[in-house]
Amino acid sequence: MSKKFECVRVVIRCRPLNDTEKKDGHVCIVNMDTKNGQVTVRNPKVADEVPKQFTFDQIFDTQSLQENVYNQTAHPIVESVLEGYNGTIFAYGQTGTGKTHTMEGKDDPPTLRGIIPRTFDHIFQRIENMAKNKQFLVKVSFLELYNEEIRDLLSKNIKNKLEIRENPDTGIYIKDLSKFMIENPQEMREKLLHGRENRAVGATAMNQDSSRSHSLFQITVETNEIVQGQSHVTVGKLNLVDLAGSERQSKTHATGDRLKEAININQSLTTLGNVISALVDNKSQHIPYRDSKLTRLLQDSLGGNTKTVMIANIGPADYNFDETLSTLRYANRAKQIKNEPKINEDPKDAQIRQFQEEILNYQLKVGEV
Amino acid sequence: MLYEFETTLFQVEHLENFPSLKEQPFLYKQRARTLLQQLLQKTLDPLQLAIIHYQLGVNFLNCKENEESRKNMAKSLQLFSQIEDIENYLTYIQSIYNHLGFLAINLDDNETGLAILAKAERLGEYLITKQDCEKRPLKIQGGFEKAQEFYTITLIQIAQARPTSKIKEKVAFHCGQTMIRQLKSKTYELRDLILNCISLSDYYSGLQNFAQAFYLLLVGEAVIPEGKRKKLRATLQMAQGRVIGGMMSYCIDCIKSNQQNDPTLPKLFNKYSITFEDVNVKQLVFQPSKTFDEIKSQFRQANTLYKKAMSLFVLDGFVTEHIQILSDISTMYRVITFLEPDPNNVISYLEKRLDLLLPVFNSINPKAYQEIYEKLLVDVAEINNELYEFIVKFNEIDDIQGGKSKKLTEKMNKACLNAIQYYEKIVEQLKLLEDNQRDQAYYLSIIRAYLNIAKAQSNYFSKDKKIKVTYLANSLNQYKQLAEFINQQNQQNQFQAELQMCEEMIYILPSRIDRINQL
Repeated sequence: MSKKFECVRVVIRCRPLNDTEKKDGHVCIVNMDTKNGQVTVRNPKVADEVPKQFTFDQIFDTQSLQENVYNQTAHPIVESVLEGYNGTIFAYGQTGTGKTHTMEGKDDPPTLRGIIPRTFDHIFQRIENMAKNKQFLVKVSFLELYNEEIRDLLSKNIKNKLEIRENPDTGIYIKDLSKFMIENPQEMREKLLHGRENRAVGATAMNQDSSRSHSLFQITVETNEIVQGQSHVTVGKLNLVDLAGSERQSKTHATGDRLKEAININQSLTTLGNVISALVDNKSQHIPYRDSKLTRLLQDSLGGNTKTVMIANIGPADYNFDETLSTLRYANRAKQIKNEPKINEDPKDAQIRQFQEEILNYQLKVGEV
Repeated sequence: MLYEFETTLFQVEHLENFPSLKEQPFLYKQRARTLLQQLLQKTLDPLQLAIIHYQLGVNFLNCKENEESRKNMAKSLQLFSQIEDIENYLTYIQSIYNHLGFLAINLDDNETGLAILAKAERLGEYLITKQDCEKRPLKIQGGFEKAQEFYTITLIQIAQARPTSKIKEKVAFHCGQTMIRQLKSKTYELRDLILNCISLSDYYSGLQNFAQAFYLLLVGEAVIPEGKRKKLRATLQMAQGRVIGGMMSYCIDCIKSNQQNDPTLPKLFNKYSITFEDVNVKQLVFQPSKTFDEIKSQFRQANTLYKKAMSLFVLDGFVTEHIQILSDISTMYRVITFLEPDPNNVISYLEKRLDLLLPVFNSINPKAYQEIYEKLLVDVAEINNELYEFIVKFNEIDDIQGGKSKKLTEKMNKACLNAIQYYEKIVEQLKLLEDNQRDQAYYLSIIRAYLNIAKAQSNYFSKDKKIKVTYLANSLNQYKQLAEFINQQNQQNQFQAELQMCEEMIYILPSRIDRINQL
């Protein structure tokens, strides 16, 4: 299978106005042109201001169905994970924009199920239908990143802080992070729920604000294929990342300990933004992975050999204008990340000069003969 | 009323800081808002109204309702401006300006935002100067420290909105002052402080204030408790190596342009803007290196620091740091080569660079470390390229004689073959790009790679006529294919010089092949 380089796919999903918003007289300021992938946002306070327009790989309007969202975003990524590649799906957007609905949805009716439960089913359905000469091992882990500290949400002692390490062969990993073998979608779901409970309990116990933390649910699929008596093992990794509410907070409003939290949470997302910017602008040689654990964990998902989709959720209402704009701008930068090998920037002229000297040399030698 | 006012503010602060629920993240903040709005109805005191509107501004911002935040901040400002003893509340004004500036910039209205932040900047400078002049604590809300804190934030916001070197210098200075305050009052997280030391050090290194840059890193090390936080310490050592390496590089540039005796250099290297009085670290004095021996001494210093860091940053566990250090050392060898008079040492440096990078290049999984792998691939290709080209010149290799030294010719051949191999790998990677991803950078990279392959093929030496002719024929084919590629891809205009090279080589190489066949 040939390896392909891809940009980060960025999709936008806009939820509909809810009953409360309608009752309060809020209006929709977002226009979604699904055919052309264009999102237009008008400033509700300035009538004659030119609406801001953004174009994305794909957009899902207020009428979009969960099934369609899954098929067009997560499905190809899950398929590639089952073939031994890595994939990351992350959900981005302020609280109340439908991020949870997109990622989880509801079980009843089944049409409302979100990306995560569909992913679970997809993996095991494919495994069941795979060729008999293939064996599978599915493992999961679940971690939280809060205030630049990593915690294992499936551990008995959630207070323990974990460290990032790198193995030359397998890549980045979290030291001592628990991994559980899973045999069916139900077990996977139980782990997810268990981790969530731990997250809530831990948050209370440690006086954390759970809306300010990121979570990463990782599914590893190891495939062992026996071909002519030989064993071929491939490992695919799927990251499901739930990012903290989009931030562009001023530091002025936070005081004391909260300033540190705000800076760290901001730093994670801001540094993510810096990573994105640095990759896109090509001006900076230094990629600031070191500054944030979140970007370190997702290091090979941004500009690396991983299929990545970012699903940015926005709200349609007029009072969401500022944050909607911020989310769209952020998503706009994310979609420009690409990955390709670059020859070092030697001065072009120097190389041409070298060639010219060599040609002259040959010409002289030929002249000698 | 005063009692009710103060207790309500206390309750509001408590609610604002209460951990919020994921499903209703603003529940407690909205309760705080309700209390403030109720309080608003109960007072006519302008000062209290000003403070309540300020708090509402903060609250709305916390709940991401920027427009309401802006309105309340603006109202608060208007009310404060009517108060007689406003001097005591200037920190509120500072904070309001910071908020309003931020909110404007957030809406892409940089002009308005920067104008507001400029007011905040002037106010901050006024307060700091006042404290310095009066030599007694400022009687303002939150005190002088608050004023300094807000001033730092002002500068950071200005720097983000309009990064000019002048403002960056102020930002760096005031961030340093903030760190000094944090150290004094012990209100810092160690990791944050160390990372700030490294960031500031990077900044001052960029200005060639190398002594300041190194000093900041020593301060970072001094603050780490003995025997603890080894990773942080190793990160600092890595940064120290970078500072010395950067200084060495700068000195080499000065020597190359004959400016090593510039009298302003020592002052530049040793300019100090930030000093931590409470930390027991001496201010160093760096002398610019003027001779090759002095440069080599700097090389050894940097190398030692890097090796220290590497004792923790082993490959298995810290792949990225480990490889970064090796790359940095390789770069130092590259830079020092410019001054090396002995060609045998030049060859030695190039081989040393390969010794540093090849083992890790062969150890890492390309799939897990794609970016790092590709960067290393380009590095090893280019080092091999440089090595064989240097030997061809130094060893005076030609098609017939094979060079003065048989050993060097063998080295040259090995480097030649390696260069071909690695450039072919690069071409392989580049070809995987989709059509819509093939931009100018792609064409530049792939054409350069093809050219280097062709050139290396033509330089391979063998006494065996047949083998030599085979390589020359391969080279000829490569040039022909490249010319065809440039034409097919419609890149003739952008790569005129390269196309011309190809055409000339296509013209010359057959004669060269004939010459060898006639031997």
